[in-house]
Amino acid sequence: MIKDITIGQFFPGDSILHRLDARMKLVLTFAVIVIVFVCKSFFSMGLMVAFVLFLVAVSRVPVKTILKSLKPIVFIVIFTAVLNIFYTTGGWSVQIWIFKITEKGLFTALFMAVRIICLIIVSSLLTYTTTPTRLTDALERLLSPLKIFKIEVHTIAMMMTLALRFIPTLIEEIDRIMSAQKARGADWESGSLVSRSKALIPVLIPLFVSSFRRAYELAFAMECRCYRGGKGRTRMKIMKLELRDFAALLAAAALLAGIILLNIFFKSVI
Amino acid sequence: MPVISTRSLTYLYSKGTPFEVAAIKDINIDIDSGELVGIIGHTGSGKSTLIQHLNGILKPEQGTVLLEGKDIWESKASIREARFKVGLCFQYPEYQLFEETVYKDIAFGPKNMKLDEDEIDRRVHRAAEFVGLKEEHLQKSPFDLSGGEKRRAAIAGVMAMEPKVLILDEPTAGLDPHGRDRILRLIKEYRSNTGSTVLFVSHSMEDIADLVSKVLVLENSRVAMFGTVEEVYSKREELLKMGLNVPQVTRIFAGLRERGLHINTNIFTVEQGRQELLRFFGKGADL
Amino acid sequence: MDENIISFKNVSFTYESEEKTHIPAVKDITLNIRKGEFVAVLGHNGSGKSTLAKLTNAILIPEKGTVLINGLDTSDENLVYDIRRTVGMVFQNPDNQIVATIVEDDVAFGPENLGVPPAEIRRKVDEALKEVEMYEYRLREPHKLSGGQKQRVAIAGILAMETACMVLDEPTAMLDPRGRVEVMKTVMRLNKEKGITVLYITHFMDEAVEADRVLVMDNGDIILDGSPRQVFSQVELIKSVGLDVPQASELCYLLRKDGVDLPIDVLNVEECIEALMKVAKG
Repeated sequence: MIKDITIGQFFPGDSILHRLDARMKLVLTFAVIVIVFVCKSFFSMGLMVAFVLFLVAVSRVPVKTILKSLKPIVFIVIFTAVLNIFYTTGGWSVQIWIFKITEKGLFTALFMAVRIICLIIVSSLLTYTTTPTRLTDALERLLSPLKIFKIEVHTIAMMMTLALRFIPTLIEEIDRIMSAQKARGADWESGSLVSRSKALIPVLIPLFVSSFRRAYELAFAMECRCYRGGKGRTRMKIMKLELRDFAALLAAAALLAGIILLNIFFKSVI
Repeated sequence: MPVISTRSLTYLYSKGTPFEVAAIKDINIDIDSGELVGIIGHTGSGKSTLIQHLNGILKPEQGTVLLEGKDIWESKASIREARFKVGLCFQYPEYQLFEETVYKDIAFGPKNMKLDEDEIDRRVHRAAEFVGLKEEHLQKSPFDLSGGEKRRAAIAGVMAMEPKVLILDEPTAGLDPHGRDRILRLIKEYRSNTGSTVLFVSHSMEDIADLVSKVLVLENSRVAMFGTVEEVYSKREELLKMGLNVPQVTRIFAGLRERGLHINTNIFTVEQGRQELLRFFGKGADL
Repeated sequence: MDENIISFKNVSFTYESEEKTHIPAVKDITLNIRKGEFVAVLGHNGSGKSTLAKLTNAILIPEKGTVLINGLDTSDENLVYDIRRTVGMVFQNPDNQIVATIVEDDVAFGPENLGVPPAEIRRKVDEALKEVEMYEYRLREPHKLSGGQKQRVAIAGILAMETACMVLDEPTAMLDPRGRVEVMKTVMRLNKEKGITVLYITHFMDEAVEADRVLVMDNGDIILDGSPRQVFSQVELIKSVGLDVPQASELCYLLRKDGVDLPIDVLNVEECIEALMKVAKG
């Protein structure tokens, strides 16, 4: 039923990853993704992969779910790998029919594939262990220093929260409008592309009209509760860094150190 | 032959997930042509799901829907036919208005039926007349109408398809008493004028009592009762157990009977009550 | 200090319509509402009752006359903030007043806007949710709630702001009977137990019957003002402005017209049965 839609991929749980401060998670996810591209040797890449697997285990998100997040990118991975095989040259080579496959090409392709997969898993873990609400909150707090450049951080965050709040409601509404127009014979399944696009008008117009009205009423309701923008606002939920957040930071730093060391002491493969 | 029936109709939500729930289960009903049927039940009892099966918006998990004896899911053509022969008007239908003019919006259904211009024109005007909209309303943008006018325009849009069975989902929702009376009168007149079968979902036992010939009560995804107003409303205890209540007048007369008065308790409207009490007090009413 | 929390003095307001014909929504209204009162405002659509509600918290400013909230003039821009800390409003559409992705965050919205310290907000939110019996739903997403539950969340949001007065503009118009009872029960309890002044706009007479005082509006005027008993005994008048009376009242009214000796202020089933039994026993 449409009502069961949950936004994002949040997988409820109580693991340490779930309990980390959302700001730290956001920053560390970004950092780890950068670190993924720092790996140059087999050993450093090996450490990276071990780290990612460690994160997956700690998150207690089922492996099946993680694999689901990789499904959409299988094609991209293969495509990138193939491209790299044929367009990167160096080291020994092998001739198969009209294709020339080089050592460097093979390794680059492999590294690219592993990098993309690590990247996807790490960012998925972020959304699996953090609710969209917490993410928006974290983003707002992290970006708040931008206020000095006159960027309306609070307003942007408020818009994001409202969007998250209303997406399920709007989906329900679209469903309702579509059913009502279907009951009058609207048809989106047969006919030319043009006629099917035209058949969207009876859905889009009522949706827009009701959305404007909704926004108008919402604005009033917010003002009636003394909303005046971000000025003078406090927050009920305070984000505080705990010991475990510093531990995570340390772990990421150790990862970076380890990878750099492994890069130095072992042959760079790509 | 009943104009519309269901056999063992079942529909599940969130099938295959841990949230799977039967929205309707094993529904068997027969509605005869020309009847005015009221459908009652709590939110979640399955009312909306049931009516969305009758015109093929929802596909049954199990069971069949028969329109004039034929399974509506037989072919693509039969579904299309069901769509137009069974006209379904959703709750708060004014939210589906979209055209440039009220005329065009009411014409949307007939246009989708691929009728010719003259026929469409005739139907639009007829439907507009039924709901009490005048020529000047037809030329306006639907967004310039008042709330009540918008609702009537939306209902006209469904009536213009001239369906054999007209179904209205809580047509009086959100209206004040005056608006509600207007819509109920409209339904009564529509049926007596066209002879169509009309089903309408309502939360108000009072509204239904005055209007319908049969009442269908849904509870927990199943049919709890289906019969005339007398048959259903006399089952006071059962209705109460379902969290539904009979009209105030009915309760008044039940109370009088309990206090020992030999009085008729098949009273469902204020007017019936008045007549019965006048008779009882020997004042000789104009029956 | 005046014990009137809401005061209307000769207030008029007109909406400008598209065709530039000015239809007065509210005409020369003078009205006083005392602290702790539960006032229901009945009227058909277009009678001016919603306009009345919007004039109490400066959403609309009177064209003529003054609206004073605890002595504060709503036409003064600088006082709007304080006025809205005194009068909280619950709207008709349950969805279009909930802004957060989870229930407790929405209830916290008001106090956050007022700059209340975080720990105190937490306390107020929890208390408010418990008052409306939605505490177990505090981490739920709003779109998963029923209409009645959403309205109770909205009420909790106002409670958390600790406003002295609550105005509800047709809060049950879009709800099913179960939801209507939930909301009505909650509001009545808050009025009785916490002394919150309530202005309740509705067209359902079975809700108005529960108030301390009922105002009936028609065409921008207040045509009746009294206790439910006083107001509903005026059956003719009420019906003439397109409103309902309880079936019990109507039955007795019709029988009285037929010459049966019945009291004029029967409001419910029990009173009706009593009155009829008296007549039957001769």
